[in-house]
Amino acid sequence: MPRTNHQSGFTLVEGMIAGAILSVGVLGLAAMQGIALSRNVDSTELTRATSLAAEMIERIQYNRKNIPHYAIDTSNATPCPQNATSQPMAKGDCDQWVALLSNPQASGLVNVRGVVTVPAAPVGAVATLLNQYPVTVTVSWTGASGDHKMARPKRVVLTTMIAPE
Amino acid sequence: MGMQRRIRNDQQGVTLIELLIGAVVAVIVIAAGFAVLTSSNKAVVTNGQTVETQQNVRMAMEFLFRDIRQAGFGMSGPVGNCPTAIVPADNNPAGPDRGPDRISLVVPVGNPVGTATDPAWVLTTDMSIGSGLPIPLPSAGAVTNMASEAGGSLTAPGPATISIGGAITTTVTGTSGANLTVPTALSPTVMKQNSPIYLLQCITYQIIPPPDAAGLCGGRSPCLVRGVAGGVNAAGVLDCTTAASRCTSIADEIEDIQFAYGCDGCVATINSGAADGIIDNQGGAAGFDQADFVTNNAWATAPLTADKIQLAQVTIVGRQRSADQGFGERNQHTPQGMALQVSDHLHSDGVFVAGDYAALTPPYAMTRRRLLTRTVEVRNLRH
Repeated sequence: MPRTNHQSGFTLVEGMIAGAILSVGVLGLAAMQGIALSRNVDSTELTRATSLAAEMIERIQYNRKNIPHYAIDTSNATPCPQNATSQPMAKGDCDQWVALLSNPQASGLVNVRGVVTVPAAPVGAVATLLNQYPVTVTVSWTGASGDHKMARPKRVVLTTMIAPE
Repeated sequence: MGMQRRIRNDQQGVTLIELLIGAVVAVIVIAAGFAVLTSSNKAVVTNGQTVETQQNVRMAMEFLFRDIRQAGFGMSGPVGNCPTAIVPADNNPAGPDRGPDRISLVVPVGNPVGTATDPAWVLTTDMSIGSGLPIPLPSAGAVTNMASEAGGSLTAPGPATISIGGAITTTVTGTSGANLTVPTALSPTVMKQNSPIYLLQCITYQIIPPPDAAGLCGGRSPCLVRGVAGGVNAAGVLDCTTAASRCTSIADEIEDIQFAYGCDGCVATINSGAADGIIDNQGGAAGFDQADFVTNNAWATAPLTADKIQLAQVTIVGRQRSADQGFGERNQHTPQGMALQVSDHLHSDGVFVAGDYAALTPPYAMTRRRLLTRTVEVRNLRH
């Protein structure tokens, strides 16, 4: 019968092309491992940034009678404008925080910027009675880039109310 | 028959060359598959270890942060083995450290809600504390439960310290059924029903290095343990491996904790040695700087005493459990090329004891580390 004469299998070239396509898929799988690992780096960064922000809140808490002096922005030319003589604690806290943020062992964050926002006077409907100051600490940085991951800006914001007794 | 023979004549097998090429291609594909498998396996293991390390360090920091923040809790005298709210224990007050620091803290433990098996520790009625009347708890079970938390008895070896509603601190002179007997010499204060009663304890944080002879780490040393130390060791430091200690592991693979303390009223020449709301300058540059955190002191010589500590700086180092496993097909990777300098502790001088650096298992350079540092205000020691 003529039909049997026309039987043919895959050629070697066809098989090799199929193999190449398969390998592209398998390489994709391998790349996924890199993504999982880079998420770990994200979580380290997040933990450190949160810790740095919490550190500043604790320091303000200790020197809570001088809250208005804690307006800090590390991207300013003078991140710590406090007067070293009249506000030694606020000045020292700021200087140490700036040093911590840029310390590769403690923060390890890239392009890190710390901002502390405090009001000049107590706020709220019963401001004079409760003497409450809302304090916001923001730590922003550029997340590490990795396999299939762009370096994206990241941010941690801690907000609390501090009331000196 | 003739048709069949014709077909058979047209059949062709593969040539040897084709077979060989096919085999080579198959081997390459399988080898690639194995490479993916091994790398993915290694990634999973590394990932798991890193996550665990981060988790341990974060957990240890969370425990320490909260306990230091509330250390003291209205204590009016020594509690257990703690003469002060914070008992610093530097690894080597005479010079650079060769191991992790310790700390002991007076912290409350309460049980304000309670369960069927652990009845709540609360006042059952409104009452005037200091009236000489015993303090009524909901049931004798609650007193037993509190006693077991205190190590078996509320009166032995010494009277337990309790805080009623966080407002009145007193000692327990005896128990009777559901009642706690307290001294009468208290300023009379009316406390409301369901005010929680806290037991104050002297809690020690300590790193147990390998080989963990006391078995505190459950086979996963080093670990960070927290609990009531039975007594002091040969060096005179509160120790969880002494008899009658009640310490449990709270985080595995914690390699180092270091403390530095900011103190107010610790320098006789500043404000006549009185607190002024500014952390004392410890002789470095003018103003408040990192050098004003005391890392290396026994805190035993007035005016530098532990009751004046205002800020505590905590640094925790965790490491992964074992070195990365490889199949030997790649170059060995060293995750930790350089020994860390943590506060006054340089790891290459000895991580747990002097000179152990070279013989650590797994080797120091082969394990990843996570370091976390944070400053805490000791709120109950505010002036």
